[in-house]
Amino acid sequence: MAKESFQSARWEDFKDGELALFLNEDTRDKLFSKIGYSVDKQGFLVDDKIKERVKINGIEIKPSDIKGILAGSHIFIRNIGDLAEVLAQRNEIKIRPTDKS
Amino acid sequence: MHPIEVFIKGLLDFLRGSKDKAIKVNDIEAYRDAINKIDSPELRNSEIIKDFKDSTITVNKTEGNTYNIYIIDKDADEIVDKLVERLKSEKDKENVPKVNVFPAEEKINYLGFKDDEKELDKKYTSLYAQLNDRHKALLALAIDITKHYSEKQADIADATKRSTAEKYGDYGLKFCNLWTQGYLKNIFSMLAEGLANSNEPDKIHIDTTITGFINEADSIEFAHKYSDVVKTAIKVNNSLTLKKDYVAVHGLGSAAEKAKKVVEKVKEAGSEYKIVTKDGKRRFSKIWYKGEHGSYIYSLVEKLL
Repeated sequence: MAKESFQSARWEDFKDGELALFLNEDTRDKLFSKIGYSVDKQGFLVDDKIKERVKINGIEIKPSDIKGILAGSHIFIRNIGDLAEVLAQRNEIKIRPTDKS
Repeated sequence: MHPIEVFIKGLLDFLRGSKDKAIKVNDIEAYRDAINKIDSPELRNSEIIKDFKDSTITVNKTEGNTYNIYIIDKDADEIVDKLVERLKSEKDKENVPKVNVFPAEEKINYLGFKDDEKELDKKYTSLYAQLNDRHKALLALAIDITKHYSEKQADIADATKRSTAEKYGDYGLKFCNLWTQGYLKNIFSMLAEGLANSNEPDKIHIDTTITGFINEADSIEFAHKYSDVVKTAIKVNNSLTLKKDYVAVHGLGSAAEKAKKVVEKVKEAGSEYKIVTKDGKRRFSKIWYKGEHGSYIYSLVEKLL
């Protein structure tokens, strides 16, 4: 994987690309609030627009349960199992056929 | 430092457990590396200090038009605000430009899992296309776990396994273990052969065969880092008392020693059983089997032991 790193990034440098953000927990939680989610009195994540708790596979979640947001439509994942399932449903698992047995 | 601060620091150090040394990391890649190795002998009992003063944002441009942006602290507000605008615009649309958000401090590399190709023997690729979504996801996880074990990244493999169990329960864990150990590869070979000889794929047959085998494999035990030796030995003894056709204990990597300890506590099996023990460098297996059905399951794993 070719890599190019620089310290003071400009938005113009990558605004048109596909982005992956790596945030520590504090910054991630701040980001949640900025993009339209809040936490109710019981500590569950709420989608402010529809005023309903965010659910993953029917389970209400707290910000600390969330390990990531996937591109498009704000799909939350709790763990790598969730990620694998979403990728499978979207047919986005990348398989490389090999001769190895 | 004020004496009260010294006292509080001392108290906190005591409560947290004192650290032998401090490792200072200057950027997120170094930090992720250190977190991944936190259980290794060289970093054990070390405190990792983040010193990202000059590195609030790091951007890696990967192949294609993908950027990995590591945002460390609030100094990156301007960029975050721009990203927020973009994330907000995505909320109500489909097929919009992609933004993925992952935690920076996880052992598991989510982006790597998403973007890296999973190597699969080409004889299984036609079969893969016929699997249901759950089995496709589990196969991707199983391949990833196997890769981490082979690259001696047992901590990442174990973390991925725990995550798989959170999502898919015992079934998911068993799927991954049976793949890593080779049993499922043989079931896949059999199904792939059937698929090659049929005009129309029977997806239901494929899924029920895999599910049936995994559910049936309840007397195959896989030792792992957190296995309870006594409890696992009790399960093995119960299976032998119930005269199950196929009973096995496997341990891979650091769990090989754990598997041996389990076996030490297993009682003597009936004379009707054939017993096979394989004690390799990083792999240990003991198998008890009998009858036609037991011999069939043994044949699935025999060559891989």
